[in-house]
Amino acid sequence: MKPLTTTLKYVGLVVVLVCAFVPIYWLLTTSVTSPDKIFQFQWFPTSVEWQNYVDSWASAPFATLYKNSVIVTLLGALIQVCVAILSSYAFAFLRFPAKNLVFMLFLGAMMVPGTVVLMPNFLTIAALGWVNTYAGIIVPGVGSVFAMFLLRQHMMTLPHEVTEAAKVDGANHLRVLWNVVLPMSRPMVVTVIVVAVVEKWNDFVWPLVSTSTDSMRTLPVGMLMIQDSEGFTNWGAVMASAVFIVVPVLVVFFIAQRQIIAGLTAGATKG
Amino acid sequence: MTVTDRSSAAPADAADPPTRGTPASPRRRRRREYLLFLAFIAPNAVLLAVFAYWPIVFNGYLSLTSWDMLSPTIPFVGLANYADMFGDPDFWAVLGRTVLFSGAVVIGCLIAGLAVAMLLNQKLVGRNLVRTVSFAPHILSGVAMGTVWLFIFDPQIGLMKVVLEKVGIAGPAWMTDSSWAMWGLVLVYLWKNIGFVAVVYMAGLQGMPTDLYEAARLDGAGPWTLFRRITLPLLSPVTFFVTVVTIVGTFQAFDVIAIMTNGGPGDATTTISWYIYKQAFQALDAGHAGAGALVMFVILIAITAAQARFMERRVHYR
Amino acid sequence: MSGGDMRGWSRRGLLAAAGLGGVAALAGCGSGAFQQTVGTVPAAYRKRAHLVFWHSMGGANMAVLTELTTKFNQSQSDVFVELQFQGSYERTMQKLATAIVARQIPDLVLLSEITWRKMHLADALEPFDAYFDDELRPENYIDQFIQEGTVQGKLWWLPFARSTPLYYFNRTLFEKAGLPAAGPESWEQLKQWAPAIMRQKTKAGHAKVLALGSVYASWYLQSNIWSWGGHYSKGLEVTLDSPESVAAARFMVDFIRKDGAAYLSAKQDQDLANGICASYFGSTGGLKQAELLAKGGKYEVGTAFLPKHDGNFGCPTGGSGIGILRYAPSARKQAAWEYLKFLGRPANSAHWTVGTGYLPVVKAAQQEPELVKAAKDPNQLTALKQLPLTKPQDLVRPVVSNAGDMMDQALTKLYSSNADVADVFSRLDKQLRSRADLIRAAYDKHYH
Repeated sequence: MKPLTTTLKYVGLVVVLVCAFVPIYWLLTTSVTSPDKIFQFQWFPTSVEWQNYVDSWASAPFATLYKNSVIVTLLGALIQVCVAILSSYAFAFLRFPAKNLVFMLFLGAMMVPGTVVLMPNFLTIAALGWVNTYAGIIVPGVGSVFAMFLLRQHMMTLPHEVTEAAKVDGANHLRVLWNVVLPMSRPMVVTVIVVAVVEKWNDFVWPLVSTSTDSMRTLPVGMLMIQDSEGFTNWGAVMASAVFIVVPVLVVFFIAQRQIIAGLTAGATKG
Repeated sequence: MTVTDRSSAAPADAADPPTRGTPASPRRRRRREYLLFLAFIAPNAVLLAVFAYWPIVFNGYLSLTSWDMLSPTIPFVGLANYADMFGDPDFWAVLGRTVLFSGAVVIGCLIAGLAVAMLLNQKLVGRNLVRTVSFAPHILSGVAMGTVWLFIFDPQIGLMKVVLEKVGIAGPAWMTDSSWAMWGLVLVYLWKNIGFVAVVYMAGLQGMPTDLYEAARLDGAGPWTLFRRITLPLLSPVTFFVTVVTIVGTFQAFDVIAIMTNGGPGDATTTISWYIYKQAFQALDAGHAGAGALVMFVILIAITAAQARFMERRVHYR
Repeated sequence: MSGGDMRGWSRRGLLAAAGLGGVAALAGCGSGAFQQTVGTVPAAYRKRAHLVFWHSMGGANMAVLTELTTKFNQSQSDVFVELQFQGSYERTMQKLATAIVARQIPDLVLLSEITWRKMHLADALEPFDAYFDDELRPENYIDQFIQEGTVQGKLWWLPFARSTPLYYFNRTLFEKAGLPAAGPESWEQLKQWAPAIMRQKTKAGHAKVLALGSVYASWYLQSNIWSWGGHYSKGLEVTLDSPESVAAARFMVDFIRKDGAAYLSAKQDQDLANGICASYFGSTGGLKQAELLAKGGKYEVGTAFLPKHDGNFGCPTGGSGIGILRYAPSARKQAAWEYLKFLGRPANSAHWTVGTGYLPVVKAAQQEPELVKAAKDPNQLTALKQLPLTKPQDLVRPVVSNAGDMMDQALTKLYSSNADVADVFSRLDKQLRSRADLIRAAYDKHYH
């Protein structure tokens, strides 16, 4: 009886592993399959063909797409986290009348889905002259609710004496934030940054809407472009470009998986 | 998530520093602190006001117009767009489809996610690896992985066809079959979310009080009773969180649909968010896009509020 | 806690929002100067007039367009044309619409037989008539194409990548089945041949007769509608639920559901290469790709006229031409004309045709040695011979906003489900009618 259930459990474990991993495996193998074999079924690639990567790199300005994705992701994440830190500090440590009401107003913004704001935000950045600019891609997405919420929850657990001591020493709030609170919140800050990086790297619909030229497009948008052309689609190249998008995230994930998992699942356990 | 916070928002004031000890004008000090508070929240407040709240108002305005984004004038049409939408069986079909899609993904995720969580909660060799790998799909680009899934669902050369054939089933044409395309998308979303849900549930399972189980076991409760009477009720806050997150996520499903089906074949996979995008940026019909956006917003608010009420009762019950 | 502070905040917030709303509304109301969209100019070309050309040519076709454009940039020292790829024709048009809203526009746009009419209705295009000179006259182009781009005596759309639908088939497979190598002449014939075709062994087991695409489904079906004696519309008057139109669609639906001979596919040309289908409808512009696939798959690909019904033939023109944005400053419009003149030279037009499979749009191109040599390929000739028999589509699809997409959606629904033809068509008819009403005023102004 006992060994049987144990065996069953391990079978379950393997099934979960295979189901989760196979699409990733499929991506990698298809991306190295030559175009004439790509429409045949094969469990394992018979030969490894790097031509797709060359084609993919040639069929879209990938260097530019990569540069844009990196800039948009890093700048966006950085600004978003700074914004979040400032406001979370205010909510955790500063006095204000009706502070809770203001806080609820902030949290309410989380209920506004991305699709709903798409067209109005496009018209807004159009009015600001921000179409096809980094500002246009980045700024509408850097307002922060979730990161602010997580950081505030964390800051409220910090021992009060520490911030008080700093203030008695004559430090102002910015100094307290920078010298005391931030160092003590480092794991949470890292979590929030990594989550923001992953989200912005994968973001698709907003860069699609807010750009119209290759010199400003990001990787996911560029990938759609390779597919969406009159005539024909080089699927090998499309797969290779998918690898360009997925691999950096996989690398970041395996380095910082603890932070990412903690950040993305935090709403359930915190608060 | 709004709701999970409500309990914890109260102690915020406890963080207020004590004011005693400073003889010079506590009122001025307080004023300065208020100003500082405003300065600190100002960037976020402006961003959220402009890019999250203002769009709601703006949608409200657009929804009362009939504008093709090309003509120089914006004709005001009153509630005509709403009348048109709610009188159109196709729009009701969009709503129904969205609910079906969302419901299927939520239920699938809850069941499979909990099962995986309970499996991973056992002391098994390699469970950390499985946990990591099964979580990974959650953070991979929908555009990139959607393309892979297109290949997997290919009716001739797809992995799905080959696997189904091995067990003696002739697979459907998936993405080019009106009655199967939606279920294909459901599978992709399950793949993306089960690992995530499982990890959330694991956190919940690890926080379980073991003494409760001991006591129940002494009373002669079997594993099924333990699961139903203790595990499930204790996990209900987690279930609530997962449900809300997954509903919001599926209502917003966009990148996978854009890459895999474009809302088709026919309108078989046109959910509310694709509908809004299509009205706005393909049909260039700002009025219907605005009206659709508001309807989606109201539905999400209603679902979350209803869920919160329901869960409050459930949580108290334990 | 004073309520006063709270009110102060929200009033300020509201003011900020309202102010911004004013700005955003302005964008829609149309004021402010137009700027050229963002682009990149190589250092060597910095001193020239910079033009941006939005296009939809991917793959092999993009390579030929790039080659011609580079040649133009090197052939003179005043103008630099930058190509910017925008995805499908529809996406290009959508991007153009939002670009006009954002006041950030290209100078030249590749517009399909559908999208140019929408831009024309929106007054976004510059008429070409004043630009023609001795070097390039309207008469240089094939008359039929000039006529299609002319409304109220003015030319708005210059022919470039014009095409017609063709019937592509696996000739090797047809011959194996004992069928004529020329392909079917009529739908009745094709239906009769279906069992013989589906009996043949292929790489994939057995092939179905016909793969139908979801993209531009209504472009291809226009042929059936006409040869069954129906119309999508007469002028703006939608006639989709006429018995003829419904019968035409019902034939196709029966071919799918009853005969099991046709099916909805996501990639018809690949299906042909893999022995999944024996034929499909494709654009002239896909010829090079089809021949490439045939070479790799060791079969012969044939092209034929679209099948007739009861002796009636109907075939729409398609593909794309170039428009100049009215909002561009006149110096750039003039510079754009220099580029168009370059593309209109017989040798360049012939090179474009040979490289892509699109129809020759310039009369003299057909005498160019490069094209004469290529025209020995019978497949290249099919489209040329079919051309005189073609005509522009019924107006509802090109003029009414989003009509093409709605029609494609309705057709793919029919192709992929058990929905009833009459039901789907009468609903579509109703939807198109109400959308047609929205543009009727603009239509009357521009067309009468």
